[in-house]
Amino acid sequence: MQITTTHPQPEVAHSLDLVGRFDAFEVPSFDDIIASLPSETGQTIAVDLSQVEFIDSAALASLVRVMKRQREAGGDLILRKPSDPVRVIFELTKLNAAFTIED
Amino acid sequence: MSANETAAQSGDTSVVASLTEALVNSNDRLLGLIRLTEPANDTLDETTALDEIAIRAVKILDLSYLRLTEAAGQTTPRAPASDHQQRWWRGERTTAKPTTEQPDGTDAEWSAVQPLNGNAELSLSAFRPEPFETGDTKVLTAVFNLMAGAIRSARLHQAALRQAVVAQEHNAAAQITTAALQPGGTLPFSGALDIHALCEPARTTGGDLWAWHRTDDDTVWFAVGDVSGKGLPAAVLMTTVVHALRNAFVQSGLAGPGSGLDPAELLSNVDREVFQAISQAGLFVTLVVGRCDANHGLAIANAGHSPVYLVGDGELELIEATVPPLGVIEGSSAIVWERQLDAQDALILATDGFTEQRNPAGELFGEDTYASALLDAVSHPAASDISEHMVNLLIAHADGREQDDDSTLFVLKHKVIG
Repeated sequence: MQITTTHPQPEVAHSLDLVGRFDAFEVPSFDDIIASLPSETGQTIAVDLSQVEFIDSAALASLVRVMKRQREAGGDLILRKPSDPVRVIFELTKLNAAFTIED
Repeated sequence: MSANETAAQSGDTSVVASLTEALVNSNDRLLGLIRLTEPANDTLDETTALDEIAIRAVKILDLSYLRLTEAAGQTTPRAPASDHQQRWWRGERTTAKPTTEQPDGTDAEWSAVQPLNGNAELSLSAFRPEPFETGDTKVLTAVFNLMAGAIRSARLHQAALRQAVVAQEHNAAAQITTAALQPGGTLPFSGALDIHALCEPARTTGGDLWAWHRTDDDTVWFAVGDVSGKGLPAAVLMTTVVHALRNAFVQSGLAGPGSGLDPAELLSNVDREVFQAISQAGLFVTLVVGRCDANHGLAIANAGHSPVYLVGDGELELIEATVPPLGVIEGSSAIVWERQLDAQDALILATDGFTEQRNPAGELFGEDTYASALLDAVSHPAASDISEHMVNLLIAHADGREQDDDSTLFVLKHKVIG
């Protein structure tokens, strides 16, 4: 999986674009990058999922951890443009009710 | 003898003495090189091996100081490029000791650099009052290669040890998993119901779970779930959820006929008991809980679990999740799905080990293939045959590829007599 971090935008502190499979093998790299981002209270992180072709439960758990961490600090995690396979998983697990998802 | 002849003879003697000294020195270096190789074979401890090589090098080359530096490249975002470790040894005639002192700048210096692993770099510097000759640099190069070899051997050994620990952890996780789950197969004492359950753990243990309980009033409770992630944390959480479920099942039965909980209330009770443990572990658990009463009335509550299907008479009904998995949002209340289980129906609960199994080309078995395969599978009268049909299809799809995740299947239907 390729992970690209982009420059801060007005509404989000950090934006990440993910490309490829997002599974248990990719979670440590994703977690490392998230941990390396400078964090301040109330910040929002955006993750673009438009080019993710597969997501498994370990990756979903990683996103849940980031979402909880950001919300506890007064910010949020925004998931952007989930691809169809990813959207199906979010709907089946009802995790779409837990996340802020933007199309 | 003339003065010239005496001078010539004296010169010859000097050349011979010089050659002899060179030969002795060369021989000493050869012997030194042989001695150098001895300690490196005796230990796999990095510090001990480096100390022993340094002591020999100091003795052979009469060094005042020896310095080994390891500079780590930027291998992860957490490791700054400036990371480096340095070890110094101070020469004391025939031996050397680790030190923090440094040479005063008057000594001659020899240095060399070589890559270690990935982006890391190793450098060796030797110091002594006398200049280093060609032969000395050859010996120092051999010393350097030995030190690098000792580091690589020690770290490979450590990596092998870590792998062994991981393998041990996996075995422990697999044993915990096996011990916590009820025995699978065709479930005994299921009254008028035919129930078959199977759970095939993958090599890297996941967190699939299932449980069932029949109360005194012939109500059958059942559940299938999946802890996100793999390994020991997932296995430990799985056992926590299984115990909470079975407690809740038994408590419901103790409440007496008709006064038990509905599946959404039971799910909430389990969520209350396990939420903190799941949340603190940074994981979540998809869980579907169902109840089938003595009159075949089905009631199901689903927290983020898939796939859950009622299959019968050529039709499929997907029983969708109404709340996210346990551990994500505390206090969610699921909506109960209710239906009568007809004679031709089969309720089939599975985990994503079925739908996400890949073949050698990397293609998933997939939700659609799984769903259409269920329509064929339910033509079998026995729950165990339905399970076997689905497992055979999964094995055929995998086509020799290793199982990607735990695979769990739970089939519940009317018992067919004869």
